[in-house]
Amino acid sequence: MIFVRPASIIELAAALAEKEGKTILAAGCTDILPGKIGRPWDADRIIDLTHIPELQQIAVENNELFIGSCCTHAQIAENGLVQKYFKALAEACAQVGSVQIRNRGTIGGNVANASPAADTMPCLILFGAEREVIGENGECITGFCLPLPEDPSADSGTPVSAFAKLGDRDIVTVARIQLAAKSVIKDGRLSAVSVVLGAAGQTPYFCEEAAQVLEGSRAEEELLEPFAAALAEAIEAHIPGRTTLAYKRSAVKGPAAEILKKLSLELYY
Amino acid sequence: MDLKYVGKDDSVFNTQDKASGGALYACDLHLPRMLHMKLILSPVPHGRVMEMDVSRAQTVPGVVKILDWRNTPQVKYNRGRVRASEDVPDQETLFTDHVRFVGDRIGAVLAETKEAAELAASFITLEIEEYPSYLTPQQTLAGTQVPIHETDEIIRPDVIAFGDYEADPGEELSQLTGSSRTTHVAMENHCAVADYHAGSGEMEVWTGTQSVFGARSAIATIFGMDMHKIRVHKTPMGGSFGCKQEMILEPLAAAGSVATGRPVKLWLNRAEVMACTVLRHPVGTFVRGKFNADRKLTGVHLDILLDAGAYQTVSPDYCLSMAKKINWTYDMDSASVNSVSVCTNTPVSGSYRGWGGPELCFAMENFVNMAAKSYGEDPVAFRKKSILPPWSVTKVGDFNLGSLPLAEVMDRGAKLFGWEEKKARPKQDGRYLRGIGMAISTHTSGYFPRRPDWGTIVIKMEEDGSVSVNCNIHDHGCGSVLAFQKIVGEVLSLDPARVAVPEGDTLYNAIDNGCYTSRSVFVLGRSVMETAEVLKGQLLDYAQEIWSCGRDILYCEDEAVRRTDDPSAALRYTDIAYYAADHGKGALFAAHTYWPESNPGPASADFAEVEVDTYTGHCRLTDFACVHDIGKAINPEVCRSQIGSAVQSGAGMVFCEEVRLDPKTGAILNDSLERYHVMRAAELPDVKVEFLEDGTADGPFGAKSIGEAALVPVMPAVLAALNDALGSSFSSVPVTPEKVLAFLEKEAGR
Ligand SMILES: Cc1cc2nc3c(=O)[nH]c(=O)nc-3n(C[C@H](O)[C@H](O)[C@H](O)COP(=O)(O)OP(=O)(O)OC[C@H]3O[C@@H](n4cnc5c(N)ncnc54)[C@H](O)[C@@H]3O)c2cc1C
Repeated sequence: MIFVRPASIIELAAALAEKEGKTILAAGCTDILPGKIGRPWDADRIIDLTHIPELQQIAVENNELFIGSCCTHAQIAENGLVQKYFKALAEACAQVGSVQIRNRGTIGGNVANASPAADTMPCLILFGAEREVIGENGECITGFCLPLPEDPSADSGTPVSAFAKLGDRDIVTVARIQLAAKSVIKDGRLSAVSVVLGAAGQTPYFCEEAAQVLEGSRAEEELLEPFAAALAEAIEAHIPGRTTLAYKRSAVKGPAAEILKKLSLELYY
Repeated sequence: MDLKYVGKDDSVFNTQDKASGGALYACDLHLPRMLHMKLILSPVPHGRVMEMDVSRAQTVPGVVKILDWRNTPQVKYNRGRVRASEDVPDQETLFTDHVRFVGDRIGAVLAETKEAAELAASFITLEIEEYPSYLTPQQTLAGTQVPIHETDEIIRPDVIAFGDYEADPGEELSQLTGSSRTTHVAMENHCAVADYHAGSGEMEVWTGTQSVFGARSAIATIFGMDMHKIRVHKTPMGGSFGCKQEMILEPLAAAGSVATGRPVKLWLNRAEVMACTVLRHPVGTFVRGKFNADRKLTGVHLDILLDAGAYQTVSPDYCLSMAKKINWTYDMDSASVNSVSVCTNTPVSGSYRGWGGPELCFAMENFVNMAAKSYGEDPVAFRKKSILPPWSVTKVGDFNLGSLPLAEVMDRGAKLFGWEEKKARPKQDGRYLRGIGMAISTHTSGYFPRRPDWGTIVIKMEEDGSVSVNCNIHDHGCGSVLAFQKIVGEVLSLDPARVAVPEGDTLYNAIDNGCYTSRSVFVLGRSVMETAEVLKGQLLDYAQEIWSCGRDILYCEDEAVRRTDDPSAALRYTDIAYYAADHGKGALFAAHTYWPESNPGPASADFAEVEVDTYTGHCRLTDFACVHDIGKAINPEVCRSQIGSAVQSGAGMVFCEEVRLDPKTGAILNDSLERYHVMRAAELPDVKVEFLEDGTADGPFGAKSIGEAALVPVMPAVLAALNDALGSSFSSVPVTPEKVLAFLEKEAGR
């Protein structure tokens, strides 16, 4: 087995061009290592992605925020640009696993691992992120481009967003429901609301009915019941007949309340 | 008495090693020419292996031998048997073609590397004739078409009873309590290494066990070997909670070594630990109890149904261990306890911290909490009418339970917790609901008088005045070694760091039962204390001889014998040791046996506060207080951690811990820590602990037990708080978020 540690995108491209045998792309390894317990290391090559400065950048480029694939969850959660424009993503990253996992695990690995419970996914979908890849078949993600919201002005309003997650327990938990929402505040009310539900189906999905409940509102507490009901219906449509349905349908009220609370705080401050 | 070391907080001697990865466990042992063993486990719940095709496995480079039921001894044994003279059912063999659960052992691959053994094992194909399977006790009790065992499939231990319950005219209440299978989650997975030398016929074994003599006895029985040729070492342990007190891995590693003449290591992964070592019993207990006009409990009748899993092992004893505690906490005119231990085609149930104590307490305290609620009485005041007074003699086993300060632990616990204040709070509504609950218990400090017990110890002093203790001690990682160092240090006025207490080794230790029934400190600690006193007597004898003075002016302080009439005079221990040697007096060496004649039951009261999120069903433990009648805390900080770990596991059993089985095959559905949830430190409140230290007990410096006792009342206290928060009457655990929401929906629908 060969271990390759490219130090730049160019070296990475060269390593990827090598076609012989089976290759594993390794970032923080927080998914790879647990997955290898009791299984043979059958790869011919491991390409380590963690020493490529370009993949560790978070920067604004042409009205987009570029987040390198090897940015760790801790790095994203603490980044001022992410907090300012894409707060839901910062919140999602801040809740991934434990401190140790957040210090190692990367956004690229989270997406590439493609778990239905991956916490960054609903946010990336919510914000219309695009993936940048290299390699002949696009097998390596280099980063994500998130279109920046328009400049907050009287016309466009202030962009806000929030993320909430429900697992089996409160910390270090695999999501059973994720909820991500964004909106712009105009004249003290929510407008252009969109809501994404995650971990309640194979992939995250937009929930238009739930967004409609909040549209034009001040995220009042009274909206909790109709908001949760709309989400419950969407869940029911996506996982009909599953044994977990009964619980998720009613427990979605928890994350729903958290989203409402966070949005209403944005309205007041 | 002014104590110098006992009663002071000290951290366990090898914490630095543990935190830095320097501590070595059985799995770190590498012997020259050592082979690795991988078990071949049954994929079906019940059947007969007709064919085992190993041809492909044998092509894997490094494979040395493949064992199965045909080429290993078929001696039947009981993994729970410590001494060969114990009368317990024998049902298990090393490997079997009659497989009885998903995870039963069919054979094993031995190879030069772990990887080769694992790969080869995955290449083995089995042809199995499947039998009908019985996955619940009810199915077995209804009759097995193909018996799981020819005999002892169902065992009904003796009924434990006194008085005439049915004749009691009191008012009867009843309740069914149930708990699920759980796994111990010791951080260190099981591992054993065996090294057999065919030439000399000697066998050496390294294992993280609670009983080196139990392991030796099992190996001697199965392989027909002389005991003096088997040497079992206890290796440092990363936790047990009971999962390492049965002889599971040692005979298997020994079989591999006997078959190949090479050292063999068997090291299980987490899924194997869960599937094929031992799980905590699922148990259902139906409690009927009677109350007189004052609402005092006058009698109880219990029907206990224990799911033994595929082999009886320790389960019948477990039933009795529950039953025998029936009159340790409440004063009653009558009690009768019926129990039945039933085999099913599921993973084997067995020893768990507390050994029946927590199970009985859970059923009884749930019942008492339910009764208090239905009579509209305060749980503390309600209990006071029924508890045993101090120095009671139990009607089962007829021995004195010691100072038994049940009322005192309740009163102090209520104060520590703020019971009255919390009770007076107005009931909230809204998203979060809070509730409070409590429970009490009495546990054991040893075998007396159920079984003969003793501790035979040797202590010697080296020429430099340091000391070595030969005692069959098994530290689970929780600090018993340090407790023993402190005891010896205190007696001899010697720095505990200068006292060596090596752990269990059958070659040197006198025969001993092992670390069971919370006896380590109470029985062995006292034995060590008395032996140290004998050694101290020798030091004083020599000092008297050297100084030609009276005995009454002599005392020991700071590693020297001193005299009251001359503060400047001192005979350092090392001087005395050289004196004894140089004058040919012999070694400073004491051998001594102590036989316990009492068994004081430590009393505890636990108080819990739980907050329920009515939106998500999540429950949090928000406050916890415990008062434990420890007699004397040898190392208080370590004792407090025992309470903390008990809260972690007890609350986990109420909220989340459960080994879930496939309803069709009995295979474990959540056999990893990713899927098996426990409470983490961050989810626990600050646990408030107070110890009652009246020093009346016969243990060293008045100590009673704590390790197991700490767990006993946790579950019912936490469950009571949860029920109080919700207004529910859950009596089976775990109460998962799903169950909470289902309950709330049903309530809302009413
Ligand atoms: C204890 C624990 C708790 C966890 N909790 C959470 C949680 O709360 N929420 C959550 O979402 N996840 C959680 N995870 C999963 C994991 O930590 C995350 O998915 C993490 O983001 C994975 O990133 P990584 O860099 O470690 O990926 P790696 O393990 O290095 O890689 C994962 C997969 O992605 C591929 N890969 C990695 N980088 C790239 C790339 N740039 N291009 C293409 N393929 C790539 C790898 O080949 C591999 O297949 C947890 C894991 C553990 C062990």
